[in-house]
Amino acid sequence: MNCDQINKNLIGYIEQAIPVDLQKKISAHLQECKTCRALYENVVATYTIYDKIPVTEVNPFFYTRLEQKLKAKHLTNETFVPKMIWKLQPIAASFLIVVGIGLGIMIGKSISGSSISLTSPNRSEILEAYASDYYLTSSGDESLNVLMNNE
Amino acid sequence: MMSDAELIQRLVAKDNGAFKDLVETYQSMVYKACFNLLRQPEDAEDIAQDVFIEVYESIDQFRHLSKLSTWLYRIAINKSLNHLRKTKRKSLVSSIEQFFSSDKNTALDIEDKTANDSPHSIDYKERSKVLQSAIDSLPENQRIAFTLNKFDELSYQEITEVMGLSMASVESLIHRAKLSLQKKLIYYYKN
Repeated sequence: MNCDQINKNLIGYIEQAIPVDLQKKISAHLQECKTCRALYENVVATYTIYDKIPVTEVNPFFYTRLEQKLKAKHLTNETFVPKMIWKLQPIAASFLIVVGIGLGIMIGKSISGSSISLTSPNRSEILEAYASDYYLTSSGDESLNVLMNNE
Repeated sequence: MMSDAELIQRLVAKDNGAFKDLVETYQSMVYKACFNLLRQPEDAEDIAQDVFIEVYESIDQFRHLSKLSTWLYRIAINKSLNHLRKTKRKSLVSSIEQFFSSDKNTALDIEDKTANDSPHSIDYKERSKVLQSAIDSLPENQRIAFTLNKFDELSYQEITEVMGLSMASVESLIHRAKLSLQKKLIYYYKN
């Protein structure tokens, strides 16, 4: 029995899962070899530590917390539709903005298509007609006001 | 004591108190299964609660092909592993951040031989860390099989049911896990 054979069978030896004659040979070697014994002591102390790990107790409020969690989850599911609406709001707002811009462009185009160009040959005539209309209306009002004040 | 079949019937019928009975019967087992994989009491409690919520919501889908405890173990293991994967991703990001912010690496690595000058000075807490690091470094299936066997004290037969594997596969997984742990521990204490 050499040190390498010990290394290959250490866990089996610790768990007593190897044949009895092999166990005896390993035991004999461990008594003779200080290096292997030190290694064995470390490995056995670490490998079997799960036997010494204290059993963790469940929190006494486990069920209460679980109940709250379950209620909160179901409440979240119930409010799923309003949440969806809330999430859809930005999309709806963006859509309305795009539609608004589109309508604005369309209206703008239709107005510019039907409007009178200021560079048209009738420009002076139209301006004159507006001016005379304004003049007559405002002068009429003016004279009426003067007459009323005089009285 | 109420049988599993009776408990399931009451759960399906949405009987008042059936859920509480289920939790009181299995909370310790489910919590332990989660804790043995996660090693964090808060995380284990959180995941154990999620296990019961899933059972509550999908009890109609339980087909009686396995025992209720086996089904609970399966859900607990799946949820714990998913949680571990998520936290591993997060810890990878934080370790990258740590790497760039500091030169110190505080994580105990199984191959970090400078942790102690003498292995004899390692106390219980450190030994636990060494073993846990070695277990964590095992491939996932080996880790689950080994943990179920050693920490949850499940028989090989029960592990085959929980993991949905053959007896030969489970035996092989546990055997390879032990050989791997033996190698890692010997390497750690020899160097």
